[in-house]
Amino acid sequence: MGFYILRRLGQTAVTAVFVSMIVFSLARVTGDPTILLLPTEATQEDRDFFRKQIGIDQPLHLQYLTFVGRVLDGDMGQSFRYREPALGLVLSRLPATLQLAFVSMLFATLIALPVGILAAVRRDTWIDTLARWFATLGQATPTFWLGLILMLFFAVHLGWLPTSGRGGVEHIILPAITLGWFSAAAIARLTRSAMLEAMQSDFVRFERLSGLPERIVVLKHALRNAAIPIVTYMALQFGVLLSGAVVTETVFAWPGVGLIVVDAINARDYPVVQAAVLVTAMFILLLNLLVDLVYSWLDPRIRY
Amino acid sequence: MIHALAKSVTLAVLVLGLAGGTAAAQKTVTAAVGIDPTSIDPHKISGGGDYQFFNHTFEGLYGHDNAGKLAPELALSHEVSADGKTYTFKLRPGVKFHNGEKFTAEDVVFSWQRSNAAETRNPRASILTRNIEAAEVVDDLTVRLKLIKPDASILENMGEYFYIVDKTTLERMGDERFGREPIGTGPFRFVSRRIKEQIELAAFSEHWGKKPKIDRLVMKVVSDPQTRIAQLRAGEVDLIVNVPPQVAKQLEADRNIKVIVTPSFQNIFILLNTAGADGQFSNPKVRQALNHAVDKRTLISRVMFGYATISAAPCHADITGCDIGKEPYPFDPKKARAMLEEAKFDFSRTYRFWGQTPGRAAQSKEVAEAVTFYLNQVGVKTSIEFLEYGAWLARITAREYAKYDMHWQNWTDYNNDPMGRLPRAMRTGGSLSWHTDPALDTMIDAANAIVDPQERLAHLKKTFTHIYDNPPYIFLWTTNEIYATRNNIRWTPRANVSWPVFWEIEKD
Repeated sequence: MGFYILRRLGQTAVTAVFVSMIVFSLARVTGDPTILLLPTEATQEDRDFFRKQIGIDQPLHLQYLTFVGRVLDGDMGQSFRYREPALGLVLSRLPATLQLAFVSMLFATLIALPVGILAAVRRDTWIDTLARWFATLGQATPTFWLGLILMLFFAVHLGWLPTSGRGGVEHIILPAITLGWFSAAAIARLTRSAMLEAMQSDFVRFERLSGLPERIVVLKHALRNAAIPIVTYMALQFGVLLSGAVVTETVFAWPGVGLIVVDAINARDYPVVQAAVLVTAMFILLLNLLVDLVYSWLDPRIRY
Repeated sequence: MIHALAKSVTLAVLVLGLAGGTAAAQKTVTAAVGIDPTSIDPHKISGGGDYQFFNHTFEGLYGHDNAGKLAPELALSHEVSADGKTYTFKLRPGVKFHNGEKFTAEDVVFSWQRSNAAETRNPRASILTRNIEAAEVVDDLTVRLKLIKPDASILENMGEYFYIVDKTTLERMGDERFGREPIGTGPFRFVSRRIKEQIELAAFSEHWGKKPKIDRLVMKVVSDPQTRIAQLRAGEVDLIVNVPPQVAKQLEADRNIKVIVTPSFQNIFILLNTAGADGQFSNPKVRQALNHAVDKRTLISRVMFGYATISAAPCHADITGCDIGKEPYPFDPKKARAMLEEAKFDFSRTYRFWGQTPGRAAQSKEVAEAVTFYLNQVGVKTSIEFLEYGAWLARITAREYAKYDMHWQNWTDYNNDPMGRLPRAMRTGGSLSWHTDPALDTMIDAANAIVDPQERLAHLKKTFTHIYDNPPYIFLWTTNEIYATRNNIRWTPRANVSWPVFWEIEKD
């Protein structure tokens, strides 16, 4: 087990290096930051001077080496735009994004698991039809549209919840539903199919024949067997939630990483883009590692 | 027991009453704005949106009043030498910075030095302060600026490009801290900022002239216009900016909301590449014909929903010299076609037209598409593509004259003087110019050396008349700024700017 964790950590480090190379190169493909940072009457000398000051006058490989050296020191450079440490900007907003993603995942799970299980248990009944409608509609609804509709109805029309911003519990309800809706639909769909497969397996038939109560068969045995693909998918969905938060954060003015990344990309603010993508990527890599470890708890046959 | 209970209740009522009283006395206006300033250090401004902060907190020697007219701020008056290269300013006595420090001539000299210092990395130093060769303290309340070359627009530009900071404070705080907790002389003082969330300001009671009628001003950064509208309708904010024209009429129907429309200096036009090698647009007759080809009034009513003012020249009539007394080119497609044929225009080619993706300027994509429709109606075939703002700007400044023919563009004059724009946008070789006209170049070059205001006005009118007769663009319109407030807000926005200025806002 210890060796496995070490090996996975090593793999995570290699992946992180690749991610850093990709994000470093892609950020630079977006164009010259001086076009947006300097006024249009800036001379070529102005631009060259500015490039030198922010360190983008060097050959690309040297810029990358400087970047890696700094990252190892915990420094991801200074935002070209805000002139503040990029890592600090991202980390100060990361809790808001993580909070939104966690609550959205909680919402998605609370909706999706019962819906998926019920649909499987009551296959081809009206409950199953309703669940499938929910799954299809949920996956087909654009996030920004759902967000605005929820906002108009619950915040503007009924006045029950605030329209936007981060504050008390009431502030997160609409953004979490908006962000979690797609995942809820997707997880419900997967839960249904995984449960159907488990319910048709021999051991479930045997347990039923042996007189075990249906509740125990479904929730304790079938669900546990169906859990591995569901947990894997949920971990992947968490990554989707983190990246999908960009739209939800914009609609609800939620002060997370997504909002600042959109601006950073538009402004060619390389250090902020790099910091945001690297921090998010590291988080997802560690989450995947955690999920792999959870497998062995879910299925004792899996040993590392 | 009962006595203790009564005491507690009385105390609670008193506390609540006091708290209520304090809340009633504090008047806070919360505005939802679309963009966050890039910097709150006045010598590190890199975007037009930054002025929504600086117009409240910092001042120049000269600035503008709420009507948009040039007005002395930290100076009382000035004298200019006959050659237009030396300006002597009498400074306003008794002015204090937000931390109580006294404003003196030393601060002007220090601000000039800091604005130009390499380590400040001031993106806008080249517009004004880099042309100042020397700044001298004559006495505590007199300062002299010597220019490298004459700059008749210097006073107009001081309110945006030469903000005054306090020498003592900066030397004590250092650059980094000052950049987080700036201290100026404006009618509002800085309280706090959370990047991409909000900026909070408080009224500065010791301001030399302006007395805000509110205590606090909170500018929340909400980039999505639909969210801003929802916040206003839910009563969470008092005011919103940049209402999209297509929803402004709906808001006007809401009884709890007022829609405020003011003209802005944002000009919209279709730039024609006259510097191109094949010379299709080098003939002024062709450019005049294309101005006749587009039905601008219909576009204003149908695409801009009425929230724009048609332009005869490429600027708002309040820009110095732009009021040339000419009618906009009338819509006449038959005349346009005849003029193009007479000029032997090449109808066989497809002309490369590009514009900006939606999101930054109201209806940018729709306007570009509609213009290409009108051009096609007179036989000018176009291909069209849309670029995201950064790529769009990069293509404009790259000026690859041989590759592209025309594009949608906007331009915002930051003040009444057109010389911020003309050299850049229309002079041969200007950083945004796709135009070449030697006669116009001579006129532009002469404008800033004319010291006498009347003589300069006449010269600029002549220049804009020349531009009208030899249009480098298809002139379209200047846009209107659309704001919306709750009914309990009374506010006249500062005229002719695209950012909100809340000097005179009141809340009932």
